[in-house]
Amino acid sequence: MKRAELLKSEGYWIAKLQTDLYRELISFMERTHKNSSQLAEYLGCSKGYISQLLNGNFDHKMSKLVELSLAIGKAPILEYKDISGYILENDKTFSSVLTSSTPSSKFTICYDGELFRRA
Amino acid sequence: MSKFALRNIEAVAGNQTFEKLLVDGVAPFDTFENELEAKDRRSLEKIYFYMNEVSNNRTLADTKFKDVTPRKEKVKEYEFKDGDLRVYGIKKFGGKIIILGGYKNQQKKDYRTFRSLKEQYLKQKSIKTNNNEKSRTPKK
Repeated sequence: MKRAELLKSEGYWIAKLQTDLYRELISFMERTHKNSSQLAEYLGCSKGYISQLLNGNFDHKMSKLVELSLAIGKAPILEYKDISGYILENDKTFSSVLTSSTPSSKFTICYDGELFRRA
Repeated sequence: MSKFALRNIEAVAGNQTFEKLLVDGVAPFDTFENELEAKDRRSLEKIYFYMNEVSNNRTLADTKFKDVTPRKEKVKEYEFKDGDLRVYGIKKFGGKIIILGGYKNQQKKDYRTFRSLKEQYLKQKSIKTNNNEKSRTPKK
């Protein structure tokens, strides 16, 4: 698979969003000294659901993503970039070979700052 | 005996280099990718994402990437996974070598192939290194 092809693939971006959320949850657990059971209790979710999240397998509704992000004190900021521009930028960073690029919209997500903590 | 070579994996970019093993000019990882069922394509794309993360020294859930090195084995072994797919690799100086990929239900057989290829590759590499050292040593 070529790098440009990978950066245009659904799987790449799904894994990125799942991994970003996984890292935010791990970081929250470390900051607040919570284990997975305590996290489940705090978020009002089942242990099974938390285990899914901690395995990097989040694939639910956008409303759930926003709810989880806010609950751990993070703003889930979505940023839409032109895919061909993103590939070019990435190509410059890593000096890899660029094959082809078709303009379309893809987004990246970042978790910015702490909004609030639940009491 | 098979001839081994390494080729850069272009889709992976980061601090660590990712290469695939070529056996007599063919990469088992490429064969796996080319023969992949359409329904598993997304899982492979996700595995490529995980490789990029590892290449950039970022942490992943151990359900996605884990050390599977048997005890007493000197060269580290790794497994990437998503859904029914598994990708097997080893450590090399400054990166990883991807040896092959396979399906979860073929894991036992794939591990045997993976470890056999690893052993043959390392053996050939060590013979080459010894020969190079010998050729560099001045005759008395």
